[in-house]
Amino acid sequence: MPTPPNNEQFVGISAAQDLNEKASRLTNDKRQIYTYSDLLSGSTGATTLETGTSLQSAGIQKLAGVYTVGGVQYDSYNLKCWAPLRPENTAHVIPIGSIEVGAGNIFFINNRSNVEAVDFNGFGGYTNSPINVGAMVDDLSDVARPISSAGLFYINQENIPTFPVTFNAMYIVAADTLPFECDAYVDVDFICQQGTSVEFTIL
Amino acid sequence: MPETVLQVTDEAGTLLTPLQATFEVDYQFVGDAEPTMVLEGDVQRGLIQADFPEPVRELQFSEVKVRTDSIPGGWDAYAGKTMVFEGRLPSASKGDSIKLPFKGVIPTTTEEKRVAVQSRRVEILNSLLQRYPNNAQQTVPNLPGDIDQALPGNLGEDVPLP
Repeated sequence: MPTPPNNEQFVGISAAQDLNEKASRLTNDKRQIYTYSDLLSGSTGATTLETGTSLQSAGIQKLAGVYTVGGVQYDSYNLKCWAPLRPENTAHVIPIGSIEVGAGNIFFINNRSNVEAVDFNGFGGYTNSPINVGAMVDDLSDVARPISSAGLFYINQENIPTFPVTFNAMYIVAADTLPFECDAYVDVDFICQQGTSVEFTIL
Repeated sequence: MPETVLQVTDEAGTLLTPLQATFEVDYQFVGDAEPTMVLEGDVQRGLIQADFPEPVRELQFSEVKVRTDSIPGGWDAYAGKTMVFEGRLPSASKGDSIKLPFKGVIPTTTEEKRVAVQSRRVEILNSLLQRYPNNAQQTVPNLPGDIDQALPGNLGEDVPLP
């Protein structure tokens, strides 16, 4: 679908109303007019997160964006997860949940994930940095320090040995040579074959 | 002969990117008793990429055999398969691909998914702990106040400047 101009107008109907209109003369107060900018401002991604067995909270939501790559059309989704990486250890693997699609692969196209650590006995307050090597973490000293260049910090999309290719287990993975702890706030977008089913299960 | 690229997919056409597998290509020439192997190699990220040789004689059929590897702890959800192309070579432009049958388990309950995801989590964690052993807590002080205790006594004394 071509991108509508910013001043294009749409007619929205409440989800509680049947969308069954045959060029009728019906016009009532349930209708509202909104612009394409209004639509974009509403695409914030997942905002309702469930809590799982590893104290993680996570959820997905379909986004408005549709991508066409090499003639193939893709729907886009947002995955969010908040998780504590505690107690301190040299390695953390936190299961976020699973994403099962009806068909096709999923591709992660955006990563806005954040790592928060305490720095009460350092420069004070909390540190917030992008998830990656170099992200600030802390330990029992309450002094934040960066994950060393020998460490790891990433979002893992993994296949389970006996499950189909359409089952994607999602983890937060972090490791370093010295023990550490922190909180991770995952915020990633992925695309999948247009129209296929997408099911997120928090585990 | 230009390089041929064939996709190895599930039966619905999803590319099996993480698949560990090998392939073999055989040509059966008219009049021969047995097919002749002309190519073999690894399936790489779900793709068979190879220069399929031009048949030297009249071709009865060509066949592509994909054999999946069973590596302990590895992804092992699809069975191998042989595809036969009568009188021709396989061609991606004709829509040819190798669709492997599923031999694994389709999880139906949340508990099945939870157990499988947690089991894989433990495997990943154990691999990480081998590379990043957690023995540092005994030798590295965690609190600033512990630093003096961790250092040899004479390093803590004041030394007059020259």
